This record gives sequence, structure tokens and C-alpha cells, in this order.
Amino acid sequence: MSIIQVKNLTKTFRIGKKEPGLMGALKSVFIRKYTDFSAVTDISFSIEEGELVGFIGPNGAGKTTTLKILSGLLYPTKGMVQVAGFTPFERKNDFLKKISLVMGQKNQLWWDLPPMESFLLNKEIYQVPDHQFKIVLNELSSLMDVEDILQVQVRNLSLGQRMKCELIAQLLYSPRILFLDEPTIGLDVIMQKKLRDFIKEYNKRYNATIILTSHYMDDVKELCKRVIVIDHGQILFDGLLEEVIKKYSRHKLLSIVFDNPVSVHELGVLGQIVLHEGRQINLEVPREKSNEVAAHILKTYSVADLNIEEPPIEEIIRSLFSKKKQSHVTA
Amino acid sequence: MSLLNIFFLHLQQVLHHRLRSLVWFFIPLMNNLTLILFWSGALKNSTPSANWTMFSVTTYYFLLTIAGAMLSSHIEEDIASLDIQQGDLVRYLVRPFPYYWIKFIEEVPYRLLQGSYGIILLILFSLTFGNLIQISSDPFVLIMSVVIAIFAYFLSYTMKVNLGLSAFWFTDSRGFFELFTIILIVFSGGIVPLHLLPTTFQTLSYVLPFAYTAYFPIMAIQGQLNAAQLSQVIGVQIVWLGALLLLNRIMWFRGIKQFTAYGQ
Repeated sequence: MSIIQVKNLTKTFRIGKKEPGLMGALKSVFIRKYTDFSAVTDISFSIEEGELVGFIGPNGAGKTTTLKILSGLLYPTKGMVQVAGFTPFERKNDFLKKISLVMGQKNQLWWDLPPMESFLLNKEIYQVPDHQFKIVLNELSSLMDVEDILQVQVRNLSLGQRMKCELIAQLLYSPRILFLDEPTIGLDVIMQKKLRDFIKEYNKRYNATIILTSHYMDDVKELCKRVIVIDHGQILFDGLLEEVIKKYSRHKLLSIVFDNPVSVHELGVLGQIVLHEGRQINLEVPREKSNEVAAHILKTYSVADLNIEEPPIEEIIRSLFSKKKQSHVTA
Repeated sequence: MSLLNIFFLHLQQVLHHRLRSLVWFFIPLMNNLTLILFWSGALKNSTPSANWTMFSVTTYYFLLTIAGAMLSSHIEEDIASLDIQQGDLVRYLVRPFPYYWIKFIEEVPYRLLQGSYGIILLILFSLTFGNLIQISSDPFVLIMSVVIAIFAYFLSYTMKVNLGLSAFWFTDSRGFFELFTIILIVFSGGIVPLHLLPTTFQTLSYVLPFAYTAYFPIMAIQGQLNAAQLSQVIGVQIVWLGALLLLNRIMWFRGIKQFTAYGQ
């Protein structure tokens, strides 16, 4: 039985429209025009307990709207949503104690007090017993390495420290389902890595189900086996991350270091040269011909090193979205 | 116990901003001192009535300052601007705690702190000019006054929460709030006591809920209401509170259905 089930979910917002200029403003005094904007359209997916799923898409794709519906913040226009056996929008206390929504762009801690006070508030609100609170807090603060800052005013903490405390505050009651919306936004690479390690560890230790949205592909690559790719409110792909590569990348990258200088013209016949630096040449070749081309190069030239690589996932996702955008424009 | 702990945690936050509370307390105090000054001039050149002398003027406006600080909620701006328009409501919606009550617990410490400034001022004033302050010493009246004061706060709080919830439908609520505040001040006896107003105005103000948030609590503690009138005031407060809570539930359930969590 899936812990999250979404069937034919649609969310439509009503947006006011105004014609430009003074006449438009005068008209809108008497007649307001509205248009329906569909943030997500007829999407369906299900997630098993303990899965860590990446939800990826460009700005305005419908990722956050979906997360908000799953966490009970928004009322769906159409469709069925079940999370841990609950209908999210009813926001029953038992449901809210099972989920946690962490938004990287929003500070939920008390700004003028130390994080410990916000932790205590959540302890009371979520009715966490004293002994459990102590155990979980010790565990989380040592995992996050924040024991020393629990008594420092939040306003005096760095963004990274705040984000760590934010996560702890949201996990003190050991939620089974986490909705992480851009949890690493604005953090430096070291802090991003630490946070990712923590999320991975939390998922493993508590068998927690996690849905993550992020613009950083490193987050997705490192954490998620499965991804749901969404754009213009529709799911473009739902499956293993490696399948995205197979499905949407028609090319492979041959990274070659030659012993001697070679003719670029000759190599250009075999594929598209994407990099040429001294004796290093990167060649993009059709996926099905990659082995054949590699064998030909090894036979024909004196090669110091040759690697067959998948193109970067960022490239694939970017090309996926741009193809989709083009098809929207054409349509 | 849990509720008390949540209250104490919010009290810490309020104590951190103690000076802000003090400044906000001075604003109504200045207004009321101006009104006392006005009445001292007016009564000097006219024949004072039996129930409106310099003693009752001073008592009334001092108690009005305390009522304004302690019993008058100012939660509407927070709800409309921060929670609904800027989207902070999100963090309340994902918590297993009713929004109405968490906002209540957030605000009560402010009211207690500001009210305590008023009480300290009243004690100092009574010690200096004892004969100018008239408060009932009858224990029954005092107990009933406390009950009326509690209901007065709940009335004011629920009214302001509902006002704030109007931001679910209106993008700019400030003008609406200002208009409401003027009506509230006039009909709650915030400028002159309601018994000095023309009869029609008095009748109207006794029907509306505003008088039960400030005017009647002040009359009660001054000992100007008999037992039957005190009970009647509590009865009217309960009826209005019921109606406002019903409205609150309707607004809340309709409002959150169209909440879009902007800014989140």
C-alpha cells in the first residue's frame, strides 16, 4: 500500500486580469476580468513508504503547489489525494503529526530567541514526551553538529546554522513524511553537502518518506533514486533517475586524450566536437554508436585515455524542458 | 500544562520586546490624558452633572487606558498582512493546533504586559491623587467585573480575528481596518462615555457589540451597574461572542479553501 497516492489531481487558481494603460484601469473599476490558471493538471503518482523522491521542474512548473496540496495547505480543485491514509486538506491532528513541511526560503524559528525555545514550542504543540524530546534532540543536534548554538539568538546565526535548526525544529516529533521544498537554497556547497548527508541519514534511520524539490541537481543526484519531472503542471517523467538519462539523452560523451595531435576535421565526421583543448577532445556521438566509434578511435589513433560518459543530468533536464517548451509554443 | 508552557514561551518573546509594548501603551495614554485635559476645561465653565464630575472623568479615562491596553486586541494586522497576504499562515496550518487559539496565546502576553503598565500607573496615580480615582470595593462587583473583562477581551479578540480574516477576500484591508477602528472607538465609549450621548445613539451602541469591549467593563468596575445589569451585560457578551465565533468558523473554512499561500 502506497503511503502517498495522487490520482488525477488538478489545481486551478483564478487570476485577475487588467488591460494595460489608464483605460484598462478605468474598465477594471467596473468590470473585472478573471482567468483560470491551472498550476497542476490531472497528475497521478504514488509513493511507497521509505522512498526518497525528487520532484524537479523549472519555476512555476507546479512542484510547490503539489507539495502544498500534499501537506494540506491547498484545497485541490479536482482529483484524489491520500497521504498516510488521510485526506490532507482535512488537516486532522493525527495527519499533521505525521508530516513535516520544510521550506528553504521561510524562517519558522523565533527570530529574537535561541532555537531551543522554538524547539520547546514544537515539543509542546506536537505533544512530544520529555524523554523522547531529549533523545531526538540529542540525536539530531549531534547529527547536524549544532550543539553549541542551541542557546544563541536565531538572528545571530548564519544561514546554514539557521537552516539546520529549522530542519531540527521540523523533525523533533519524528514525522514519517517529509516535504522538503528547496532545503539547500542559498547555502554554500559544504553546507549543502552536510544537509544532504543528514537527509539521507534521516531517511535511512527512520524509514521516512521524503519528497524533495530542488533546483540544485546535485541534491537530486545524491539523494533520489526516483524522480518526478514536472513542467507546466504536467508530469513529463516518473521513474528512476538513470532512466531519465536513457530516455531523454540520445547521445553519449567520449572524452579522449590523444598521445599526439590529431586532425579535428577527421574526428568531426564521427560526432560533434564539444571540447578541444590541446590533446583533449570531447566528442558527442549517438548513444547506439558510442561503442563502435570508441573502438574505431582506439584502432585508428594512439590514445592515452578514453572514457565513455553520460552527459550531465543538468543538460538532459534542461534539454527536456526546452523541448517541452518548444512543443508548447508550436502547439 | 502544555497550554501553560506554550503561553510562557510566548511570554518570553513578548518580554524580549517589552519596550515596544511600553511605547504602544503610551499612545492611548496620551490620547486619554488629552481628553482629561479637555474635560477639566469644559467642566470648569459648566455645571457638572451628578454622574459626570472631574472624579468620574479621571477614573473613566484612566480605566479606558487600561481597558485599551489590556482588553483591546490588535491582532487583525498580523493576521491580514503577515499571515494571509505574506503567507505566514502556512506555518500555522501545518501544526496540530487550532489557529484561533495559537493566535490567542500569542497575543495574551502582550495584553497582560501592556495592562500591567496601566495598572502600575493607576496605582501610582491613586497613591498621589487618591480621591480622583473611584473604583468599587464590593467583592461581588469586582468578581463580576473580572468576568466581564474576560468576555470583553474574547469579544474584542474574535472581532479582530474576523476582521483580519477578511484579507482572504480583500487584497488591501488597511482602509477597512481604519474605518472599523473609528466605529469601534466611538461606539465603545472611547471618546466620551456612552451615557453622555443622545438617546438614539446610546440605544444603538447598547445593541452593537463594541460597548461590551470597553464601556461596560469600565462601568462595572466603577460600581455603576447593579447585579441585574452586570448579569445582563454578561448575557449580551455571550450572545455576541457566540455570533462572532459562528462567523469566525464560516470565514475560516471558506477562507482557507481559497488560500493560495502567496509568498511561500
